[in-house]
Amino acid sequence: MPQSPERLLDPAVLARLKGLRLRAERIVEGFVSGLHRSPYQGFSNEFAEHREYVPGDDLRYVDWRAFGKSDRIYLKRFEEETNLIGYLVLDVSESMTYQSGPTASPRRESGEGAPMSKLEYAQTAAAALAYLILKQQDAVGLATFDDRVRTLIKPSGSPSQLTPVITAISEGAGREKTSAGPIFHELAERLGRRGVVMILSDLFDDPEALLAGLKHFRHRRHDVIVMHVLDPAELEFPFQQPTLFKGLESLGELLVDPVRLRKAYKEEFDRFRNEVAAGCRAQGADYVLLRTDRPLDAALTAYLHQRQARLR
Amino acid sequence: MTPPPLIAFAFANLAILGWLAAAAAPILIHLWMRQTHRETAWAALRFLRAALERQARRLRLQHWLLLAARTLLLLLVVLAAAKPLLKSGVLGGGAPTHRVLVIDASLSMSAIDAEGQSALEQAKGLALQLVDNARAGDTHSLVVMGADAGAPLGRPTSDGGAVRRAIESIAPSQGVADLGQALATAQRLIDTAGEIGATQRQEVVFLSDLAANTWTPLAETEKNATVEAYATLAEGATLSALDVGDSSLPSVAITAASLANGLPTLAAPLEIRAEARIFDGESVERIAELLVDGAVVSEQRVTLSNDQPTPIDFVYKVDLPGVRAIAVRLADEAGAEDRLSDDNTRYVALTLRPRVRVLCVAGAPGAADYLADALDPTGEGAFEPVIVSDADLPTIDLTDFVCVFLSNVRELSSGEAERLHDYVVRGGGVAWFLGDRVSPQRYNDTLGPLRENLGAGPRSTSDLRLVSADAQPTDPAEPAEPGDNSALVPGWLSPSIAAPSYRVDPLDYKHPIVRPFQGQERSGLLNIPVMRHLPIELPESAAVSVALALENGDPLLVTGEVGRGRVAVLTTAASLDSVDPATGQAWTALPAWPSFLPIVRGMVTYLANDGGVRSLLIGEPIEGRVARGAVGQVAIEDPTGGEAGRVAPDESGAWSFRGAKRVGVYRFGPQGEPANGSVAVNPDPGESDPATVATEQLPESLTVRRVLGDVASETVAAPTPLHRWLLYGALALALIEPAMACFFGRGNG
Repeated sequence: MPQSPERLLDPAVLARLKGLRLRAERIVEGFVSGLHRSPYQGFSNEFAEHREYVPGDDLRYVDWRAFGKSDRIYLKRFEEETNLIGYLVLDVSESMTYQSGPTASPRRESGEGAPMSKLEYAQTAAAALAYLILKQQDAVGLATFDDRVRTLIKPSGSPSQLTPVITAISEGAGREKTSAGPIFHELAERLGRRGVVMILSDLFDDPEALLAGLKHFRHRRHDVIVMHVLDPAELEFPFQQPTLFKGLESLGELLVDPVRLRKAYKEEFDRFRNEVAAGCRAQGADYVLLRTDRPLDAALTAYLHQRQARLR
Repeated sequence: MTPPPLIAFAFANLAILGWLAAAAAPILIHLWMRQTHRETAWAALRFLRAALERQARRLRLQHWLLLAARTLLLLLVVLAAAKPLLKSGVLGGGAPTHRVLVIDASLSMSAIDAEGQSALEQAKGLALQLVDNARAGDTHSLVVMGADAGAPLGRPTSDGGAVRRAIESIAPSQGVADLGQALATAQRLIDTAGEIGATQRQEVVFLSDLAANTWTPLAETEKNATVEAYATLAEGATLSALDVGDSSLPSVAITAASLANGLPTLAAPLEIRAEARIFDGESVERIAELLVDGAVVSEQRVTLSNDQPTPIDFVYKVDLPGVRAIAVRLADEAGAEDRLSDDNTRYVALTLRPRVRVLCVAGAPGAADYLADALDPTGEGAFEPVIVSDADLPTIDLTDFVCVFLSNVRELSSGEAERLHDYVVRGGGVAWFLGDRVSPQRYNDTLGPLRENLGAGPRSTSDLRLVSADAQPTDPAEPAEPGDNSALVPGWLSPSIAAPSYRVDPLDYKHPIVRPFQGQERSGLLNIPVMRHLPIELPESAAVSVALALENGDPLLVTGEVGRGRVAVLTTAASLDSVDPATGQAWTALPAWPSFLPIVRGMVTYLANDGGVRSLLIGEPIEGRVARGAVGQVAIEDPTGGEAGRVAPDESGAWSFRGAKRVGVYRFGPQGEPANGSVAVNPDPGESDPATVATEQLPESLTVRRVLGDVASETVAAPTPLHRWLLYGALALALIEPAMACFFGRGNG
């Protein structure tokens, strides 16, 4: 019995699929058939050429004149759309490897922890985005980083671009700290034409440096989408028993009673997240929270709705 | 400056306190939990660290509050199980209390400290404080231990003024505290308070120096009346003792005084022997004085050693006949430290006669001549023998004589026997010297002991003999009590036998009459020839003793005690006129033997019963006996010359006076006539000894506190049980702790 597309987008199901490419294909197929529209619709508004209508396309862009002449339905394509360059910036630092176990999430109905680590979730999202962009014949590039730029693949619209991109995405995590601020500065200098910079990271860095880096992207006229990937345990801090928290990225360890510290922790964490979100908004960048226990499309859909509304 | 009130705890179940270690359980659990925590990798550590730094102080405070609550809960439970008693009045008790104040007023309580305050004054002060600090509804009783023992208030009262007045009126006594009697009195008062029903708590507070002389009966391991009385009292009351005896001063005392030579007469100087001691001090030189009727007549310097009694001897010739008060005293010297002064004097009472008169009753002409010669060979000695025939005996006033010698008297009528018996019972002495005229059967019937009291011989209830008309028939099954043998002849005589004996057994010179011969083998005692004697069968009685025995073991000289007097029997003759008809020889050569004189004189001294020198301790009754019906009342004169009291003799002429509460010489005699008798009343030497009873030997239920200085009276209140309050506290904590944990958890979640 075939599974529904929505079911396929469940991170728990995706986690069981082998191969990042397969995951990306399933996500995009499910996503598109579920929404009947392209996730990248409306990224630009300068007409360049026509293309044939496919189900799900926005009827607002149907060229009725061409339809009257040729009796075929074409859509008007815009200048920038055809030249869209998507820059995927993936954080592969050690903190991204965190995945809460079942004991950390006793409130979950399934009784299990997050189905995949933040890195796996971000990798899946990045692969899906690359697949989508290339499928729309746009160009996609990739940069991975921890405390330095690990991989940098120049953008290309060739269908063969998908293989090196996914290969690079699939590489294991680094063992270094997140150093997003300086990296963003570096990437802002190294990325070529302006495009859409999609950052997938937990952003565990100094917010001030981080926002300064984002500002640099904006200064280069990039459209920036910050996809903040977080584990539900990091958001809710659901631990009940005294726990020794061994810090990733060589941050030491702490033995605390989580029940007593939950409120203060959440206050600290929310302050950080709000600061980042507010900073993004202030610079015209989009902020999208991606929880690793939620279906990937839910967050993307919500975000795209917002973006569409803003562009209209 | 008033020292801060002392608070002390005692525990009824001390062993439970070992469980206090359980209070460490929350800490151990906490440490164990730290060891058994979970571990997890964590990416957002810097937010956790920031939160921790921000909350550290509050979390630490909450943590310690919870830990303290849990630890305290366990502590309270364990302490409650140990049943602590608060020995302080800080908390007091809600229930009205009947407090029996038992104040020791014995002689030892007159001991003073370096500031000159006596232990009794300190005890009274503390008692007053206890009364002043009593709560509304409390009642008090007062018991005094000492010569004036009793309960001055009679019954429990809530009238604080009356209690204070009663306490203030307690005077120091020179007597001994009778702890058993005090416990019985306290028990009676507690029972009375219980009957009234006004109080719920009963307390008994002893204020004493805990002198060993008083408290030792309670410290004995064997059961005695005092221990049993205490146990009964402890069942219904809380008992505590305040030790008020704390003097660092040394103490000197005269612990003994007596007449060393026999019968005191004007003819010979008095030989007074005393002993002095020093307690808790180094050797010291003091002046010892001899007083006659209150006037110092002699003194000497003596060195008191702290390791043994120091003997003090005085020889002094008194020229005034009559009742004399002799005293040996340690002089009150300037700068000489002494904790207790009332024991520095010891008295001897004696009646001095110009000569000692001895009535010699001759049963045959010349039968008493040898006796008279032995008593007064020169006509100027201390003894004055008066020879009468047995026919004259009923007409003689026996009270003029210290003793009566009856030599070879055939028999006595029952009336004569009764009169002689009365004389002996009142303290006189009678000696029987036998001979060929003596009828053993008549002696046995009239003068001898009951057959039942004899160690052997036929048992016959018909052998009852009449000694005096008012003598009560004695239960035949009841053995004669020592010292109360009513027989004037202390044995059952048999007819005389000829059993020549040339040696006399002195029986180790144990008897006082024979003791002067010890070491004088050539004095003629051991080789007295006795050809004929009357065997005597003796009863099994401690009052009868044999002074000399013949070769065949038959007693030669036997003594006995009758009432306050003494009797003696020489089983052979005291003259050379009793002749054995078979041989024609005298029964014995004793009357002509060199040992005869000292034996006769020794008998007088012995029979006179220490020459009339009598001494009692404070608290003992002065007893006497007068001729039946002759005296209506006997007046007793105290040491100061005032009248101490009057007593009426009973039907038998015996009287007893219990009002001698001061040391000194008491004189007594028929009302309206000059005193003819005296007795010295002295303090108990045990009161001079400052040794105290070991508190660990006292019952555990008796809380003993040593009081130093002006400790506030609330510190001496009876212990207040605390376990109920502790349990309330534990219960409150048991309710508070989960609430605290919930509140802290919610506040942080």
